[in-house]
Amino acid sequence: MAEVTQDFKDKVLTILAEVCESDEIKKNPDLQLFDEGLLDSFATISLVVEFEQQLEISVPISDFNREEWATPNMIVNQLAERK
Amino acid sequence: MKWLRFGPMLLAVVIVCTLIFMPADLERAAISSNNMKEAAASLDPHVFQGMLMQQKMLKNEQYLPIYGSSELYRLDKYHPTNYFKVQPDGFTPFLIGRGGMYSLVHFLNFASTANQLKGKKIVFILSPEWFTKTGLDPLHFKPNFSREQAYNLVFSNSISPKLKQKAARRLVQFSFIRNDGTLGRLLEDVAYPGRRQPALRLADELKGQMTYKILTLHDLVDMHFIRPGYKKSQYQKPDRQLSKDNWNQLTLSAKKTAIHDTGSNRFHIDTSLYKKSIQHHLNTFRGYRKNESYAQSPEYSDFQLVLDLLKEEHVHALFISVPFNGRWYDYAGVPKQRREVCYKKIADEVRKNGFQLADFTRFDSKPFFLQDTMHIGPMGWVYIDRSIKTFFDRS
Amino acid sequence: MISFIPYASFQFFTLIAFLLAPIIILGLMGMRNTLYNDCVAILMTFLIFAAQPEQLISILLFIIWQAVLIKGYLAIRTKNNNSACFYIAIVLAIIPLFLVKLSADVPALNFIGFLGISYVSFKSIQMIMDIRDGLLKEIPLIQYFRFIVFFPTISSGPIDRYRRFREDTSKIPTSVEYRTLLYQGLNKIFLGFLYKYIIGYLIHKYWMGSPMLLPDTLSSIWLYMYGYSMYLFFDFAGYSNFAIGVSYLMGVRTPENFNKPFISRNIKDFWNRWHMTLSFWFRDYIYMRFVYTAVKKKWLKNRYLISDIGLTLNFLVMGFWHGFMLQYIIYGIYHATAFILFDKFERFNKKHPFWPKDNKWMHALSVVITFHVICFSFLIFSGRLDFLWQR
Repeated sequence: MAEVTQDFKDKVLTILAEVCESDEIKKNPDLQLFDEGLLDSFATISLVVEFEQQLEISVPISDFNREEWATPNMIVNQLAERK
Repeated sequence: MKWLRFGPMLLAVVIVCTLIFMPADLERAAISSNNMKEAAASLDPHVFQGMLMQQKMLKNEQYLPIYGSSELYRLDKYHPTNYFKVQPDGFTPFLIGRGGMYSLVHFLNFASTANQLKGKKIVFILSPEWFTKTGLDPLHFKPNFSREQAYNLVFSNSISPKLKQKAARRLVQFSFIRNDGTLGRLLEDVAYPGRRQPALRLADELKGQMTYKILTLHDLVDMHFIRPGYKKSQYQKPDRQLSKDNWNQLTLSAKKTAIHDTGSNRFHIDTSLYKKSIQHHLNTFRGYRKNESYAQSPEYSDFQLVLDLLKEEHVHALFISVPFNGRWYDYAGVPKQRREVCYKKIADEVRKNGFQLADFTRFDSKPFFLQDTMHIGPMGWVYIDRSIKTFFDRS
Repeated sequence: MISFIPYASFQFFTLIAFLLAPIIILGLMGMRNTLYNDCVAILMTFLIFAAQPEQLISILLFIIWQAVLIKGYLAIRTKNNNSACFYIAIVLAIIPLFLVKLSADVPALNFIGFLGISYVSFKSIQMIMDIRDGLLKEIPLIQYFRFIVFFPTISSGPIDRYRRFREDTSKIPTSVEYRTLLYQGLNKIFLGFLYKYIIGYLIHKYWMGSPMLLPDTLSSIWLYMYGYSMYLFFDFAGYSNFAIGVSYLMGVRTPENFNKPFISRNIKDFWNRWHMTLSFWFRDYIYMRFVYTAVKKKWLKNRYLISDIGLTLNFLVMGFWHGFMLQYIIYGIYHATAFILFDKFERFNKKHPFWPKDNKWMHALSVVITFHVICFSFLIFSGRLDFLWQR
């Protein structure tokens, strides 16, 4: 497991909350984003683009599968591994 | 136990296998006498393209099967089905046949019920129109060909091997049968044994057995959904009045009906039919059969297959020989002497094989026996009813 | 020659029962014989296409063609990430499929093609895309072959992903794991029988085949629409269950294709439940790639417009993929339109909520509306409405 700093986590969650237009994400980091309708294909792309621009981490979109990137926590960890 | 989870699947396999490999005895037992009563006059083709119902019917003393073709569909009040309802004679006619059911079709059907036919009384109505130069053609055979009966022929031992081979050789002359995958290959094996590798034959036999069992299952299901094969307009209700009449009175009243129905034209063809499909282009029918002859026909040897089978099973059969409509055939270009050849050949073949014949070809040029160019009319049925009664009571 | 079209005949099931028996026995012991599995794969590929030798030749040429492409592109990609090379590789990978789809109208091309060419094409195209993304660094030829000619799904999917498949084939399930796989696999196969050969068959024979539905009247077309939609589902879901079930028996968890599509709440939900492996393939490799590229390169300012164009492209390609016929194109446009309209509705509802989400009556109403929207699309798809624009 890669080390996850609180600063990094906050940054990711802020991007997520912005793209999903929902603050609930920060309160509940185990929210099922796709099942709750907060994320869809279109939002995923905005997310990937934002990650690339703000965090300088690039994620190939075909690697962004819905099982492994399902919750805010999972997304944080996936990104941390790619830093 | 974890393995218990597989229980429902195993059960499904067992149920399917039981259904498919159910012995024929059980399948016949699943047909009720009510189904049979319904089927007797239904003329539903599923009945004569299947075999379960007929096998069961033949085991029942109450039924007298009448084999034939399209004439059976003229269910007027003199038709045996209706007549013997009002004047019971100890049997119920069971009708088997439809248009295009030539001898070979009947043979396949007989072969599939050979065991049950043993010593049985049957009636068989012959049509002289079958005995043309071509005889049975694929156009008439295909819709009447029963794959179930053909598989039965392949796998059954109830007829003699020689007859079986002879029949198979005739069947594989038809390309639609020869090319019918597994069935075609199996029939060719019967017709010309020893041509193929035993392993290949075995594979086809296994597959064939499977298909055959599934077809009989279909047969069983169909027998519970019998629907009339005739049109409403072809059916008259039985007439209670007829029970009082003797044969002379019956003949007279039938003749009266016939005169009324067919008196409008010189061919004595049913008026409505004549007006609808003949009158307006009568000229096109002049001599339209002038090249037809009945001296040589594959039908004679197909018919011989039927006779051979019935002899093997010691069946008491009454054959009924029906005439052409003489006046119409004169017009169509088949002179009387050519027609007589056909009548004589049929009569000889029946008698030579030792079967009874009710020969009505003397009505060739006399009106009212038929109601159109070839189908039996009211008066014809009265004569036939009489000969059936005599046959049934005597033998 | 006896034909062995997958899951279409009794002899096919008998044959695979016979061939799978050793795999199942070994599986229950927690083992796998890769050589045997490969032999089965080769034998089945041969038997499935042997009845039509020209198909057998087509598929062999096709596999070699794609292997050369993938290996070639991989070699280039490791040296540099040139976009032109990528696009050329994609075009070359699509060409056979394109020609086959065209061959329906061009008799001269009739000799090419084989059962399942589109599904096999999807598999190799995604591999090229994954190479481009740097997700695939090496592809052993034997793994490629196993993936491409995985016989349970060769004729009509479900479309698996190479990286997922590779993991399943490289890991041998333990005895306990395999017992679950066996149970689930057999269960799916039996469900397949129920769906395809009982329910689907009965609907086809007695509902769609009813003479009452023949006339071109509103009521009979309406009833036909329901019948056809149900048939389409049960027939294809039944097939998919066979394919997935047999995959499980071989230790491969081929992804699901259907997830109760007729209880979808909206069109978006529907495409997450209907023919899932196909719609996800289109989503990942057409819609998302297009939108991603367009957003990143800032082709347009309005991101929603980009998304709408992406959706149109997505469903139009799907329509053409079904065949170059008007009914399929209309079907594609219809779904694109429905999808775009729903997107607008959803955005509007987010800003000015008027359609409550957590109300069970509203939920039921959404399901009913969605159901009819999709059934109507299947009616277009079925060709039953062709009489409207023909003649």
